[in-house]
Amino acid sequence: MKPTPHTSEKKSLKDRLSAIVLCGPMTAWSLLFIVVPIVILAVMSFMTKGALGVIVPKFTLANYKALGDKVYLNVIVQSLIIAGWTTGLTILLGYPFATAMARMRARTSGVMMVLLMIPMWVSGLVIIYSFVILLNHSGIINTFLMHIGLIKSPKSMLYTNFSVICGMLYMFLPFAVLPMYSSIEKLDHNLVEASQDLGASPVRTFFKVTLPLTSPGIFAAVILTFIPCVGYYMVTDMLGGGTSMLIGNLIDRQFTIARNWPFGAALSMVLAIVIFAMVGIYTKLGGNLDDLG
Amino acid sequence: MKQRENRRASDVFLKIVVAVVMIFVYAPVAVMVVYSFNNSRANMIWLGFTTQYYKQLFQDQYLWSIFGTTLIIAAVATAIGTVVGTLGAVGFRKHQFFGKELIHYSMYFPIVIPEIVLGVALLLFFDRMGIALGMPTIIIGNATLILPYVYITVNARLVGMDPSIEEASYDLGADRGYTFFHVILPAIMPGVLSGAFMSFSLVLDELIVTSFLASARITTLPIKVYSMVKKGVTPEINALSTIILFVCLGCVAAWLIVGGIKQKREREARERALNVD
Amino acid sequence: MNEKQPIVQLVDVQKFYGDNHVVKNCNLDIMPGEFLTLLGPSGCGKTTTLRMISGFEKPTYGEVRLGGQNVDQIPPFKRNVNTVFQNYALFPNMNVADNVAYGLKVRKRPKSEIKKRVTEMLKLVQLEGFEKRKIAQMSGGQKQRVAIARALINEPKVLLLDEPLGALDRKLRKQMQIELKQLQKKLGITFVFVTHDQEEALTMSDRIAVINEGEIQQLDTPQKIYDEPATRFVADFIGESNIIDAVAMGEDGDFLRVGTENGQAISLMADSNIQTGDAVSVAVRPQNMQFSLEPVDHFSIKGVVSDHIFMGHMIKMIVKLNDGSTVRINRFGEDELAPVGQVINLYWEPGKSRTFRNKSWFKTNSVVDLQEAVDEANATHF
Repeated sequence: MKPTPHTSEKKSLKDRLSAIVLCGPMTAWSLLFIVVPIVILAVMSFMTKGALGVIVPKFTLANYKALGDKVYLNVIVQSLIIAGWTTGLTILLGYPFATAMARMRARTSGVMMVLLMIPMWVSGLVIIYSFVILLNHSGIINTFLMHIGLIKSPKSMLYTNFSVICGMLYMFLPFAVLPMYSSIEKLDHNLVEASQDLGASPVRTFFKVTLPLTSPGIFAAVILTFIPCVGYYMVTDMLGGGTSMLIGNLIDRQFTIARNWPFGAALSMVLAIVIFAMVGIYTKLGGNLDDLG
Repeated sequence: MKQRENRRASDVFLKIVVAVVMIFVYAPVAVMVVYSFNNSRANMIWLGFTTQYYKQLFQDQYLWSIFGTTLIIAAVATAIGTVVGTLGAVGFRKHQFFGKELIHYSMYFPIVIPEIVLGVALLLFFDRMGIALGMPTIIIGNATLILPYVYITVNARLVGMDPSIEEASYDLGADRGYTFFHVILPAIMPGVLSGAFMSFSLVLDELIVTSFLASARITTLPIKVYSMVKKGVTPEINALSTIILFVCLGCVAAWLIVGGIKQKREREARERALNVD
Repeated sequence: MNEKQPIVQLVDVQKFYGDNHVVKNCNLDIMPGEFLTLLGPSGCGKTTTLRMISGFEKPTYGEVRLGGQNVDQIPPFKRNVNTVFQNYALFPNMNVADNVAYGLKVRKRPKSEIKKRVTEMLKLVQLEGFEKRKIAQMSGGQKQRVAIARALINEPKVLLLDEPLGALDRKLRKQMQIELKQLQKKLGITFVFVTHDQEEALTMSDRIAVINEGEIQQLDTPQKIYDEPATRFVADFIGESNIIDAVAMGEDGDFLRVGTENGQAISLMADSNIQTGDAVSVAVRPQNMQFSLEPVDHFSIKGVVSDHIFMGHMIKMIVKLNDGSTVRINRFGEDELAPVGQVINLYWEPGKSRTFRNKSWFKTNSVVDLQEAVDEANATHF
């Protein structure tokens, strides 16, 4: 016959108290201000909009169906195009930059990182306003290009997708460099040497060894750029000049101008679901959620 | 020989990229600094040198009061996020309970979903709960936004902490409270501080969540700045940003100098310790 | 309190982690002032046993008693035992003096007393003058001393040491072994020492508990454990043994005759515990293994010398038996050696081997079959 186990192996009262003091606040906060609001958002996306922005508690799929509207589809496509370009450019510039940092001495690379971040600490938004001065018709870049004879008449660069992408790139490049830098820095250099030792050319080594091994950092950078890009409506407001509109702008409008909260909620839900899918793929590929912080 | 050439070629390429990125990042900064001395409100064309916007900046009572509000919001939200996140990280490592996984993963929501979704969700929440927008809702929103950052940085620190130092403290007669304040907290302090620092600078700059949760009566600096920038009237803001820029650069310089001295001292101390052995 | 009263008692202690039975029915009395070692391979439950004494684990069944009192409800910080942790577990944010003083600061002792005691403790572990040093600036051996001083400042009745020397290099470990033993004698405190290093256990302990798969195999003095191992595991784990698995075949005069699967037979000192048909293991230390070129009475184990290994103070002869297993023979100084390739007969003095009854390992259980195999082997080889 087995003796009964001691009840004391279970938690003592003081253990429970310590658990409540430590875990309680965060659990409560998360439930109240993260979980419940998301649930409300989800419910709201199925509600009906009444007159003057009143919400009628009547189930409808209309908010989601409206996304099929050509106007809104355009916005979604444009969002994806701009986010895609920004992300691509971020990786193309950020990856070699991170590689260069990884080859520097620790202190020098620290300085580089700080130099990259300083504009963000100052205020990215204020600084990207400078693009208006740089890019406008009679702006510095047009003047310069005409002066050296590269172009005859000023190119319109401001209030185009180009200026929006410039602004987005400016806002997100610094944050994207960090995860790429840490995965490049962690890369075991012996593997690169082993590959070259075994006769692979540097280019082949890069594509067969370096790139696959640093891909978690690249993917983290993609997520860190793509996600905020889709929702960040300030840049388009400032540098888009009303010509480009992103999902973020559309959502903002539903709450500030159109007062169509259920539709705004549905848009937010779609955005969140797409992002969750991306993050899901990222973790499936072995990415660490903490690297997105 | 060939390898060295390749290496040199790639080094040249990397140097060009670094230069391009730095120009891209600092050209707009330079424009901002120069135009903060521009004698024109419209800020488009250069109309001569002036420091009048710096003077105006210091006299602008309204701007300063907004700045004060922003500081208060940042400080309170950071304090809440840091305390709650730190306690949570320590507790979640030690204790098991029903629903822990859900809460753990919910901590990643504010990080992975776009800020605008969090802002909208919280706006709907406060609206449904009948809570009027204002300072408290802004603080709650910002604390929710930064809580995960503290949780993650403290967690990372806890992973690196030798778990037996906690047991050593109990073993030597300290109870849970004493151990928390004298052993665990000091060990994770760098994580707590970097989380808090990150949070504070995030909140100071926070625009999206705040703008969804702010009432008409309350404005923060980023909102004010954004509305001014949008209208293109920015000389004072440029002046302010220029000041912040130089403060940052000064801090970096100080950090480099102090870091250099500290490094040298530590190296000497280590050498001394090794000689004794 | 009675002198003979054990200071630590484990009574029918069992520990489960889920379905994992880590400690099986452990009964252990530790006497005041003794140096007791829990010895076993990693994962054998020795550290869990130690942690049940310190209070970081609670037994699933059974009782832990300190000074005769059941401590089931007493948390670690209220037990009068202290631990020296495996990786020292020094507080990185405090200097040496603050680490050592921790136990007294927790108890809110007056500053002057703390200062005096810290100085005493640092003197005890020969670290005077290191008070203000940071932990990161200390070497492994120094950290070890700080950890010991910190654990001893509370004047515990029992000091628990969890593989404290594991992280040190060999030379430093030897030195610390001697220092620890001297410290224990000087202070008269009970030491419970956990290690997987049998040499360490043999040199330091008053008694050793050899543990395997959660069970105490043998609890005795180092000498007894070495000379008279109680189980096949102990014979194999402590020191070096040649282990020959066999089946008892019957009496042979005053001897017991056992045969191996491949037809070799040995006569051993009779053991009343072993009956015909029992599966047994015979363990012989390499230094007790003898050889002869001539056949030996009562033994019919043959092998071929396959190698000589020079070990400094001795030469190890490796002998291959016909079933492929090897036997080692230690030869010292002037001892005769058989050349490589030589066929030799192995034997040993009566009483120089230990025989253990095994539960069941043998494939053929028929003694008759075995006897035939032995006869056949003898016919072909002799």
